[in-house]
Amino acid sequence: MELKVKNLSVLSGKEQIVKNISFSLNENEIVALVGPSGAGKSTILRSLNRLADKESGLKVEGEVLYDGKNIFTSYSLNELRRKIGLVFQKPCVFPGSIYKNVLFGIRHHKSLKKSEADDLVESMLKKSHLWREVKDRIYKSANILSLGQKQRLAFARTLATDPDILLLDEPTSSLDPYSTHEIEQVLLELKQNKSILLVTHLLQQGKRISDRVLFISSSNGPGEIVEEGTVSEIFDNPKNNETKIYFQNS
Amino acid sequence: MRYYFRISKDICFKSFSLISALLTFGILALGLWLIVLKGFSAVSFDFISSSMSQGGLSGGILYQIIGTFILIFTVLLIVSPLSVGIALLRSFYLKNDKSRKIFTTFLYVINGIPSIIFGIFGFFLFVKFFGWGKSWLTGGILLSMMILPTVSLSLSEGISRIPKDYIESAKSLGLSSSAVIFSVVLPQSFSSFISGLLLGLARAAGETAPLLFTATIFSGADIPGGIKESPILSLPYHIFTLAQESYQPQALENAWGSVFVLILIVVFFSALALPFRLKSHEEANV
Ligand SMILES: Nc1ncnc2c1ncn2[C@@H]1O[C@H](COP(=O)(O)OP(=O)(O)OP(=O)(O)O)[C@@H](O)[C@H]1O
Ligand SMILES: [Mg+2]
Repeated sequence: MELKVKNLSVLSGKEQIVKNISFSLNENEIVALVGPSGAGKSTILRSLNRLADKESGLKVEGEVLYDGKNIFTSYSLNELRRKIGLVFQKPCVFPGSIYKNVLFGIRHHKSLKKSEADDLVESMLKKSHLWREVKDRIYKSANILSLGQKQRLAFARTLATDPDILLLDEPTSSLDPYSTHEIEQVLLELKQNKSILLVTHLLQQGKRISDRVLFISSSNGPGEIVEEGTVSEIFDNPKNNETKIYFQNS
Repeated sequence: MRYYFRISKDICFKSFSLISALLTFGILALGLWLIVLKGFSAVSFDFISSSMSQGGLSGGILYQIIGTFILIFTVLLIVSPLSVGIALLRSFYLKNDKSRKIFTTFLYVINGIPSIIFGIFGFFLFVKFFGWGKSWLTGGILLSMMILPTVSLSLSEGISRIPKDYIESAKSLGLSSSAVIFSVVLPQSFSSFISGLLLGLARAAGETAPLLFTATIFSGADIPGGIKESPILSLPYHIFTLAQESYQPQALENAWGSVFVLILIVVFFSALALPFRLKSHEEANV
């Protein structure tokens, strides 16, 4: 399913955080959202699954169409959030076991038999490349995992609800190069039947796996998309001056 | 010069707080010591397992203990669901700060109402208007109203300490509000709830005033069979009555014995709350 964002603006009170954001995320596509810290990347992701307007008290204007229908009016919150899954920048694991954490979302959407649940936990932990490290302690507390392990657990948890669209906020920020590579391979696999919007600070990551790149900047006030293009267009031949400087420095 | 002034000010404050603390604990310890001294010798297995006779001059306090536990249990059943409802209302459904502050003040006001007022209110509403006469249920309801603010506020504070990330992560997975409440909010604030509840119950167990003319009598009741005209005996009221007969040494001794048992019950509930209180501080550090 595709996601179409038209003139999205997010406001805190009267102050705009991002404005006039328009882009589309097509089926089987990975789009990278890059830009400096504080530009509004997380805010955009959070408004696409309605955390911004429902939980943070921000005002969201504009139109977002998922499968042709407006996400603000045509979907129930629970349905929408299951279809459009978000993996947070800062991983948060729930008290309880690793096993319980993986099933935390999905068991509210459908009932699973014990064997189905076991299988699902295993396959999700394998997809998030955590299985090898935790397979002997999946019934133990998830709280003692390392930051990078928590990040992969949060990924597995969202993946388990089988969203159509994945919003990933720096999913590899706490991972070593090897695990990062593994996760990137998984994203390429997932692309077969999902669309992915990926916030990343790693330009190489954008180069390696994304189909298109959006560059967002807030140097002139609220965050805006100042350049958009295919990987080669934007990395090798940026038109925007700020984009150029940003890429030269990384 | 200023330096020495500051130091001496420091010492002043330190000694002042130390003396206040010592004074408070001293009085408390003295009271407890007196109760143990006077009460312990009056308590025996017979005393707690037989019913009273001769107007409290002999026999034991079995039905007073049972009556007190009936009240505690009733309060537990009433307060648990209501306090959860009130705490959720305060934490989630009152969206703006102003209405939340008004609501909180309202709870503190209820908390501050002298307990005899609850007694009068219960007397007119339940005893007279509903025609229940004296009833254990009235006692339970009044005590519940008294401790409801304590328990709700304790739970509500526990809820406000839950990291926002937990709730947002759960919502982002498509959980409905009620699912978030049952799988994140309540489990995460459980220890605050229990600690508030136990402290409230300890307080309810020792109250006399709301029960005086609504729920308890001095003698002639055992286990209530219904609601109307079903009074119970209770420890606080028993102590209250015996203490008025203190010219009789046997009455006084039994009063001390009852005080000792009541204190044990109260201390028991407060002590049960301790591990939960410690735990709720840990949760806050997540
Ligand atoms: N709930 C909120 N209320 C008010 N302002 C907010 C809120 N959430 C975010 N902001 C502001 O919006 C701006 C963008 O924040 P955001 O987290 O989206 O940036 P980001 O691009 O994700 O940065 P980073 O790369 O550091 O994660 C920041 O200036 C931030 O202070
Ligand atoms: Mg961010």
